[in-house]
Amino acid sequence: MTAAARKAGWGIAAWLAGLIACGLLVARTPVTADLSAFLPRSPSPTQQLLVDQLRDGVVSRLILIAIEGDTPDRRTGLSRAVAARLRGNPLVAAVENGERTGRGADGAYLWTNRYLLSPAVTPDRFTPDGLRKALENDLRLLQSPAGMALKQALPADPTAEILTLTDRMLGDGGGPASRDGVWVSADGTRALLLVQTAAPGFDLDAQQKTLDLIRNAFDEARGTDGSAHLVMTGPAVFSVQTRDRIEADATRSSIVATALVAGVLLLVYRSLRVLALSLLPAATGTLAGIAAVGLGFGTVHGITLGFGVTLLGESVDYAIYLFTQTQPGSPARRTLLRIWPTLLLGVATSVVGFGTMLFSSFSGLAQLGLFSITGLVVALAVTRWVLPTLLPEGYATERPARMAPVLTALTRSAPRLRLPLIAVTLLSLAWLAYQGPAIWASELSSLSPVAESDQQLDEALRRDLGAPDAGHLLVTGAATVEEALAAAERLAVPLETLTRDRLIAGYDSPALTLPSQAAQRARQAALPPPDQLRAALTQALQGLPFRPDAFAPFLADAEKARTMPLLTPASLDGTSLKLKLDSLLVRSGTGWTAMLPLRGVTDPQALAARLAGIPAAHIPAAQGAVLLNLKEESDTLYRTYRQEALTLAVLGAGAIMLLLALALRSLSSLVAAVMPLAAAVVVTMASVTALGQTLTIFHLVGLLLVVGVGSNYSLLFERPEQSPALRERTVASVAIANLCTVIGFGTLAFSAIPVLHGIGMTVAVGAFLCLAFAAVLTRRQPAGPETPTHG
Amino acid sequence: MISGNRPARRSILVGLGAGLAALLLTAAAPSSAAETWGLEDLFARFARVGSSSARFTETREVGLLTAPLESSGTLTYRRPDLLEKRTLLPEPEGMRLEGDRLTLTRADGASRTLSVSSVPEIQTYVESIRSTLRGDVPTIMRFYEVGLEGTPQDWRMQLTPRAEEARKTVQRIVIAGRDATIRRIEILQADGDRSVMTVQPDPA
Repeated sequence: MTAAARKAGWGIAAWLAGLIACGLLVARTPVTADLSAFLPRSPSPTQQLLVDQLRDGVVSRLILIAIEGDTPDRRTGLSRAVAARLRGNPLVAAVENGERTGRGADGAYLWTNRYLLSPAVTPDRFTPDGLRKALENDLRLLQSPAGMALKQALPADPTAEILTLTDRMLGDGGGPASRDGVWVSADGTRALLLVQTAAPGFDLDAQQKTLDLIRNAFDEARGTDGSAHLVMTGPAVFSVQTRDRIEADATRSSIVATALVAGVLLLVYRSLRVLALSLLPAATGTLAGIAAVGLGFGTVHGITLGFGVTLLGESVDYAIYLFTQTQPGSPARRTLLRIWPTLLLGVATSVVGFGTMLFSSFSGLAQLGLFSITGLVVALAVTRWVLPTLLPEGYATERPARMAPVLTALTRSAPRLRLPLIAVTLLSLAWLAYQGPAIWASELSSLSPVAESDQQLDEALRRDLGAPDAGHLLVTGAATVEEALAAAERLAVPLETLTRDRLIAGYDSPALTLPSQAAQRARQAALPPPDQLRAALTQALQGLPFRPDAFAPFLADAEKARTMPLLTPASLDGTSLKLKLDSLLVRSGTGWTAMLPLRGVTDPQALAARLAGIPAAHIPAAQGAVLLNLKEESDTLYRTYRQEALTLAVLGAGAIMLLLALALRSLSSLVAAVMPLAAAVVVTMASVTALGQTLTIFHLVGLLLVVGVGSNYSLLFERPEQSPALRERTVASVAIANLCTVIGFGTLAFSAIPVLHGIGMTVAVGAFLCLAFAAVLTRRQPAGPETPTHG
Repeated sequence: MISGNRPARRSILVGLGAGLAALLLTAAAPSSAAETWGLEDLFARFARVGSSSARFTETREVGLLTAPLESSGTLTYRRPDLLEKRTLLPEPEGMRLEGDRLTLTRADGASRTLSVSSVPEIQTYVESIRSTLRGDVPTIMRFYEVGLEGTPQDWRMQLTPRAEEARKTVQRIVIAGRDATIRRIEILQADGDRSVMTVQPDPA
């Protein structure tokens, strides 16, 4: 007795110490919500580029802002006021709303350094002939309607280098529409702003602060009387929103599920103490799971968390089995000894199933695997070594026995449904076979937790703003910054050809913002010394109606450019072009990678063929440059992981079979245990896809969980019992456990986040089917026919 | 942006009402004859014109140059918002404004499209002509302070840009005409440059 008490005391002490340790670990584990946490740990170099772009690229730092409502004038006024409040804030790298002031630093950089930046600066341009051509052009410009706006620059820039530069920056569209100098949507109902955050896209805390800053700036600017409101989209907005939403959904689901499960348990056990005790293993398991993931990965993803909370559904089962199967006059410890082998086998199957996911290179899956294994093992341990000690002396359940006969009656008639079940399973199989690979989502975005309406708003604002989205990149690498820039410059000629042939609408290049030192030196060399330039200009001006001294500023600026120090990355400090350069020229491993985004790619295949130099007409193969289709690349990546996950799931299923075979040591028992599971998985897959969902990796995880939970049901159904009364209790315990699982995942099915919704549906449906099919396919009569059905 | 047709028409109706009231008042007070006729009346006449075309000759005096630049060509307007200026001499060149899109085409066929609202200097210039031809009172009032003088047969409208940005380039635009036709457009720039366009309507 004392020995047993001491042993129990140790159990409780270990549990409490574990709780404290886990609590500390969890408190220190940050929650992430960016999709890239679900991207590979050791990808190929191109995939690494993709991942970097998603995490940190210029696209990931954009916040698209729209001001809606109120009058047009109020909106443009608000746009100016908000922009003014945001400019200069260290959280904000750049604010653009169409106002010229926003381009001040950028404009100054381009203007001051135009002779070093412009690819049009060649020796020919500054000969008498070259200048003559430029001046004749200027004359035409002065005559045209645009001349009025552009002529101010002419005296200092007769060769129009600044136009060459700004044309490139603007692209074709000429930017968004404006009203009173402020960007508005094409239909004029929104004022638009574009904010580039200083923090990288994955730094959610900084992004959150930036979003709060924008909201406050807007509220201050609007005051209390305006009816305008603020709309924001972009990767950062989505990530922060998703994190909030996942947290909210996880909290809500767990509260609702806990309340419902608690209600069920209270109804069954009529004891608050027992209720608290039955939730104990699940709560401990969840905490331990989060702590383990935090320990193993440094962060825990919101999706893991949302998913894991519902693990409650499975781990609460252990306590239910224990309590429901404890008969009056027999201590809980004895029940435990009796059901322990079955419980152990059930947990082992789940652990084996999830264990395969640990090997996934998809870190999100590995997180889920670790979380589930730790959670289940800890929950079982708490059930085994902590619960019995905390149970009231001589505890036994009376009430479940009262509903047992009804359940027993149901179970007894269940086998009549064998034929229909087989028919439904075959039908489902046929449906799945007919659908083929179409049942699987093939796009990375299918994992995106962003609601569709938000994605549509984002697309609308992007269209209006002409903001870049992930498209096609030409990527080239070299050992040093200088060589990478030079490599990017060598691509200019082929890309110009492609633009002329209309295979692309245009391109951007880090070398346009910061040319290589070699190119800058060549441009300086192209500028003649002062006397020579003056002579050439005088000669070029012969017979043209320009005033002779009109171009004095040009002579001064050209000389300044000829002798100025070359531009370095530091020259860009204080401009938003710096951020652009940083996103297009990135360190990768030991070298540097230059990225050239291509605009308006209409025919990716033809483009790829041309770049590979296959029809080699007049375009040299772009040496060492790789064409990266970001969308395609990310989808390929996703398909690779889905394939891997599928393989792992099949291996996991195989391992579960093996385990069951070893434990049951009988082929017929094995078949009896596995059949309901297989049928439930098939029918669940068929019904989920028939409802219009495509299956993602997360559905796969859900199905694994179904197998884990379901194997408990089959094993318990198949287990020989000593007496019909015990049999009744077993049936009752399985039914209650199943109800709790269905409730746990059912609440998740109401989540607005597609992924959580999908998993919730899958497991709720699957778990219920497992139980029903186990009852239908069981070989054992639930109770002897001689047992009275009404007690 | 340009406001839609409906509000414009409504304000024209309001304007017509005001004009009528003013006319009634004139009978009582003949001394204020100049006030009986206003922008709304003039623009209501323009608003009835579906399309029009004309020839122009333009003289630009530019500080950079020793001699004025001469050019000539055609102007076309089609309701609601298409304005096209084709220069034929000294060199063919096109400017086409449709909605917010401004397309400039050069003799060699090279063209450039831009959002006119994003370049206030150009917008200030082209919107003066287009909103007059549209008979679009709200738009012209939004861009300029408008001063109208003369009679329906010989009017002169002085436009001063409201936006500070635009005033840095365009100081004043003076459009003169007869009935619902434009005869002369004079642009005074902030730097002292000046252009005068004389317009000869094609017989309809």
